[in-house]
Amino acid sequence: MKILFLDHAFHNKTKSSTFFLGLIRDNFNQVDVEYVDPDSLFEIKALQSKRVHDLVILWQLDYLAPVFLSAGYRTVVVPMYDGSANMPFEHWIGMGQASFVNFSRTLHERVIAAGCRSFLVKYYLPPVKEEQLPAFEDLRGILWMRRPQDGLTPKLIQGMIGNQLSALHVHNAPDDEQPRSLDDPQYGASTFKITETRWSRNTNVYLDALANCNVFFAPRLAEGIGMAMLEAFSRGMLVIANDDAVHNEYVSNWVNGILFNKDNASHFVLPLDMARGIAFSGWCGAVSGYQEWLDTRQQLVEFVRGTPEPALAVGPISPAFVTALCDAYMLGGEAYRHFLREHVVDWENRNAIKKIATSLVTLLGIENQSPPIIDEDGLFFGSSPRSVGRKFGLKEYDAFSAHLANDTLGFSVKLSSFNDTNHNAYIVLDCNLIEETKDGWTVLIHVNRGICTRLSLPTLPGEFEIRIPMAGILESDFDVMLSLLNIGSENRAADLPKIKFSSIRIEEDGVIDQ
Amino acid sequence: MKSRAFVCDPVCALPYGHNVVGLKYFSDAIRPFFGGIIPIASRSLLEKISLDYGFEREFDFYYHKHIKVGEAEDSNLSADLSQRLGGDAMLERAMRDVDNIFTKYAISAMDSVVFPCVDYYGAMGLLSILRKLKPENAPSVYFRFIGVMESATMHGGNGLIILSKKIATALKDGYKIRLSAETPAYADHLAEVLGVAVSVVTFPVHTDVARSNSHLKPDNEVEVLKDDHRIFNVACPGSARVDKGYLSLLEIFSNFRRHDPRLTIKFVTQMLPISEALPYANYTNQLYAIPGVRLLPSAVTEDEMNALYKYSDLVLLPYDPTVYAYRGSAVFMECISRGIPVIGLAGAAFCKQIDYYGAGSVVSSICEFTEHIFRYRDMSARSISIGMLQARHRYAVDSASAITHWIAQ
Repeated sequence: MKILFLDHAFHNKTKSSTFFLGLIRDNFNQVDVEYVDPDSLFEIKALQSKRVHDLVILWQLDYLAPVFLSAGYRTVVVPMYDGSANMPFEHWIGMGQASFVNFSRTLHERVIAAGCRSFLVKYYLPPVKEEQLPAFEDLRGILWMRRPQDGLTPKLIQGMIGNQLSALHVHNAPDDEQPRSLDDPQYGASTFKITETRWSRNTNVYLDALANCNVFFAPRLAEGIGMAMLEAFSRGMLVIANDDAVHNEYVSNWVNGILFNKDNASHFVLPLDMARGIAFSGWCGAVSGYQEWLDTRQQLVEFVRGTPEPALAVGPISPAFVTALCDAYMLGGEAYRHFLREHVVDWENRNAIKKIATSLVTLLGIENQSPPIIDEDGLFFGSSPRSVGRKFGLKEYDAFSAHLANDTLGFSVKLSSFNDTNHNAYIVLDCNLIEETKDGWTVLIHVNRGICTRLSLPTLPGEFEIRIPMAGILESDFDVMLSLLNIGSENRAADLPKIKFSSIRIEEDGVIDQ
Repeated sequence: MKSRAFVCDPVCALPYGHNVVGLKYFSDAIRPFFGGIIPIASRSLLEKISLDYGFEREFDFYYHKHIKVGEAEDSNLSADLSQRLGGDAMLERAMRDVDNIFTKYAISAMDSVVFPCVDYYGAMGLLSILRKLKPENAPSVYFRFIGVMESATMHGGNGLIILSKKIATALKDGYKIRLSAETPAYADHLAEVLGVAVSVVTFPVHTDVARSNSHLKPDNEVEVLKDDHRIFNVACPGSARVDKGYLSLLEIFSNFRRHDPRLTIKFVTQMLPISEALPYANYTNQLYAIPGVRLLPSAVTEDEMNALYKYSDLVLLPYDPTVYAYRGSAVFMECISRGIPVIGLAGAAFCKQIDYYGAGSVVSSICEFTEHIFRYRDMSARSISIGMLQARHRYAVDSASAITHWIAQ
């Protein structure tokens, strides 16, 4: 069996999928690996040449499953809670013929509710020996400050545990690569001694610090697998984590770890004996869990091997469909949901879908959710019958056309006669603000999935232009998305500006091409 | 000897749960008293299972509103319509089914109709058809109440009250109806309502269980099957329901694990059905997070359930005492047949049977479970085996005697 392992490019750096890929490589003859970067204009090489793979494994790229299922691939999806927790139910129904390997029980439950085949597994790292467990003469914490913008900072830790910690080591290496100053009261703390390391090519910096600590603060609000947390369990550290999956699928509160609610974290008392006991329970769980993982691996392999061929395959998939699906996914929940309903979910099989959807909708608690609109005309673009974008000669599949969220809209333009990108040229949208807006709104203009420019909306009613610069853009296909932002308002949807779009034109060196 | 017994369970429709094994066990248990046994299940039961067990499939499934079984067809719609018109479509279906059975098998006064687990529509349908016959031409009827489906109606009314009145009238008119209940508490309650004696008939000890799946040998010998050094397994079969104590398991398991970090005991339980899972997703995550806890799907096959029992040293039954005030527990009866001790929560009717037979412990609160689990872990395997052998012996004698009295009186 020839397998394609398709993974997010980010994991080529973090290596968090390596253990799973190794298991697959150990059990199947031929495994090709391709990394995909959804944030850039990507191409899936395996879809651009003659099919050679029997089965595809999508690691965290669950939204690509409909592509491979439609093309007839036996498809295994490994979704991650941190990426897929908020997916609409159409997401799961749209890949109903895939097999799922779930590292999260929460996702497993949703997948089962959608009628899918799913294998639930818990991963653990090899535990240290009992004699290597850390001492608990005092509490020495460590925080890898990956997401300070989420509030996971020394300041938060101080509020929870205060001076019960004798020291806190902060690995100041955020995902956004902008270390925060620990002198800044927004992040720092004063009731315990703080040491600090920063990102280094030498990963030992973090591991050395870890080895000197006995209390581990999980670095993110939620995780897909939680490798850093598993590392801490295997070392016998006391794990303290935000109460969300998969943390709360590994940490039973005050049994083998401690859970807190980031938005309502309160002070707690943690005697040393109790800390030692909880940490020991976590380590015992890791010992048992690691053995169970070893015992389960072969069942997992057989589950992958037993993935059925999709019954509703339609053959080779057009690149436009792939692009549109990815666009819709990148646009966010409503765009993606709308696209799935329009192009992926098999509504002809409505009764079966309805039965599945009912339980899943109930499970996800989204029964009464309906897509909002931006103004009284709906402002549909692209292939919608009412679309003003039809005049642009849109592609067969146009993700933007499938969507109109409350704060985002878009369209695609194909410019066959426009080849010289050195000109100072613009796509100009003529717009009309219908009502006065109370707050200042900003329009972020994305072209081909990158932010191109921005402008401030007028506050008083009247006509205005949105000018989208084309210089430096090499493609002749323009996917344009406009995001409306109002940073000053908590409730953006309630006060969206009402805009009408009257025409579109190209301006090139002062020449108007309409 | 009477000619034939028609052992009926219209609720026997799912491949898992207790209805299939219940229908089989009771059919076997009363076989010595009849010339022929015809077990009859729902038409919704898989054909393969009915063939494997020798069941006929003659009943429609009347409880789509209560239990998810296959396709509901238009039953809900027609039932709603019928209800609006003052009728009960399910009762009409049940009457039609019973009528067909009477015709197909030419049931006469020589025969008996046995409901080992009375359900509302099955019993009501039978009583309605019975009324078409004179008492002297009607078959003997045996109703065994277990406190589950005898109250289940489409219209939401309390079926047991309606059914009780119908039974009382039929008894008064001379029809041969013998009543029993699964627990002493329920039997006493029914006797008070109906004004007649009601037997107590527990789940029969089944020979298949005794031979192949029991921790004990089928005869009265003590054989220590357990290795004192292996991990002690504690199971909660059938606890995938809120009224069966699902929401108490976190307290029990986590309390215990705090005292047993080295995992000398492992727990296994079933999860709630998907349709009921949403409000308890975080709760279930916390169960799942406890080291040494294994969660099984809400529905398991008979083989999987047998495997669960086979590797269980102790079974927890933290059932809601209010809901189970009159009810028995099929899991308890399975356990006593297989030689597995149980711990129940005081107040449930079956807890008096646990006490009486010495088949386990009864605790007065959830927090006491931990202490009792430790007690069983620390008992020698021989001591547990001898205790359960004696419990099963007494239970088996009582059960056989009760069935004999109920059927052959």
